Amino acid sequence: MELVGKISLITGGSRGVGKAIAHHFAAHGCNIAIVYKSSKDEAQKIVSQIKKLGRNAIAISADLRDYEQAKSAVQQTIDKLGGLDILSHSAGAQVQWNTIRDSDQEQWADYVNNDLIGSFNIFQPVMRHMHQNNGGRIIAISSIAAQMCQSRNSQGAAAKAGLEAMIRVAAREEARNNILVNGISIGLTNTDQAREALEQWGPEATQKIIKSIPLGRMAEPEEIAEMALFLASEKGKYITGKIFQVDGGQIITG
Amino acid sequence: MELDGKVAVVVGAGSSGTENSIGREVAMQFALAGARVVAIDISEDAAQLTASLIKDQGGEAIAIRADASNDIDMKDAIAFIISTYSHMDILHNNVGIMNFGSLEDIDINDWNHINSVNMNSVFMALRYVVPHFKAQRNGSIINMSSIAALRSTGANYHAYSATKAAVLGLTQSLAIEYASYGIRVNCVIPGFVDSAMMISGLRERLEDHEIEHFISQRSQNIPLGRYANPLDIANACVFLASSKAAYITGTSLLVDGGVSISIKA
Repeated sequence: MELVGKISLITGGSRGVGKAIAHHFAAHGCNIAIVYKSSKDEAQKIVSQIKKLGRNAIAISADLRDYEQAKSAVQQTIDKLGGLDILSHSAGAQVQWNTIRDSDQEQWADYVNNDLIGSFNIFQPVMRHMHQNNGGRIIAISSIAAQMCQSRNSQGAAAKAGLEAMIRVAAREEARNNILVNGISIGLTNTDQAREALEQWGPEATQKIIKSIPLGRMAEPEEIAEMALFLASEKGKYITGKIFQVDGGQIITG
Repeated sequence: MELDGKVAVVVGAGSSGTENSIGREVAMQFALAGARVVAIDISEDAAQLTASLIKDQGGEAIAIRADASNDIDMKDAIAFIISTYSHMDILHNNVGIMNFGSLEDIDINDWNHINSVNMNSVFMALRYVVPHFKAQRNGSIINMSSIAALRSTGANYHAYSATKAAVLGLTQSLAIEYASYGIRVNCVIPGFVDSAMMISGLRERLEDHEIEHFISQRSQNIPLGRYANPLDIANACVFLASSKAAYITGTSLLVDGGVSISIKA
């Protein structure tokens, strides 16, 4: 039980990695605000599962593209749960795989607006709160795409590289205020989003991708949640401004 | 507990001074997490002290004296561990020494000695441990690098910097070679740590009365405002050793209070 009595806001908390983090944090004593965009039923289901553990939990609908909605999600968390100690930012948009030449400008801009500007929209109100409340932890989910130079993924690479830069700057700005900011860079992880993508690519391509991962398999979302817990816990209190890969060794094979 | 039933080998488990060390703290934390610990050190007394500290806290440990950079010593040590426990699960390579001096002044023997101790200690341990990990298709290796591998810290310990960078390269190449055997190879990169090694390094360069001032000045340049203590580093090692890190290989955990993102450090 490493987060007893803490309060965490989890963006993208109704699905995939965010959902696994919500369950894992709750199992370690944390109260949870799930922020979701569209999966209301899923979010409510997780809330009731967490409540069964004896924790406080709420679900908040917010589109992080809209600054006011992001700000309101933070305020609702503080009002209803009594504070905010940990932001776990795992919301992300589904990448459209296209070369730069073939990309649609509007879709590209919308993706970055969603992914990168959405990150700023949630970081700022959370950091303002933490600044007034003796600190906190921010853990943002990034992707190895930020460093890997995959063809046809300019939007994912650009948005996540931007996020990683913001993580380092945020950590630098707020270290003396005891706000610790880190990222987890994930590779192929067994989520709905990844399964959809693999289905599109077909079984042959899937086999090839999985074979190229040194550990020979996808990550399970729970394995990402373990790293998030480590960074959110007392054990991670000297770590800030870092991006950690949980990728089965993928990034060093490139 | 996270490491119940595991046998963890810590190479460089003693301390070179009266202060605590990373190696000793990692050994203690492995034991607190449930592992049976093999404390290897070049100093018999230092290895014994670590083992007895572990036993004092109710853990299980044995001490082995071995020169980690010596082929025969390590071969014998690993054979002894296998004959005692019949398996091992975790290898932590923590040996590191440094000396100071400008490039022109470095004595070639000193240069070779640092290279040999810092590099060969990792190589020798791996050489004899990896075949066992390979046969059991499981194992976690945690090497110790340093912030000095990534950037200048202002101290002219060139051989130390070079060998700690080499540890990063070796971590990556081995991670790929052995991933398919279920062996994970990772690295921890500490920033400035309040340890016996740090203190003795400062004593070589500064007068006693200057040391306190130096530490407080440098702390101001660390974003989190303080040196790491060995426990901060050991926590990362326990995490990488455990099944919680089952999908992590070939990577490095930087535990530096933000130094590496700061331009002032």
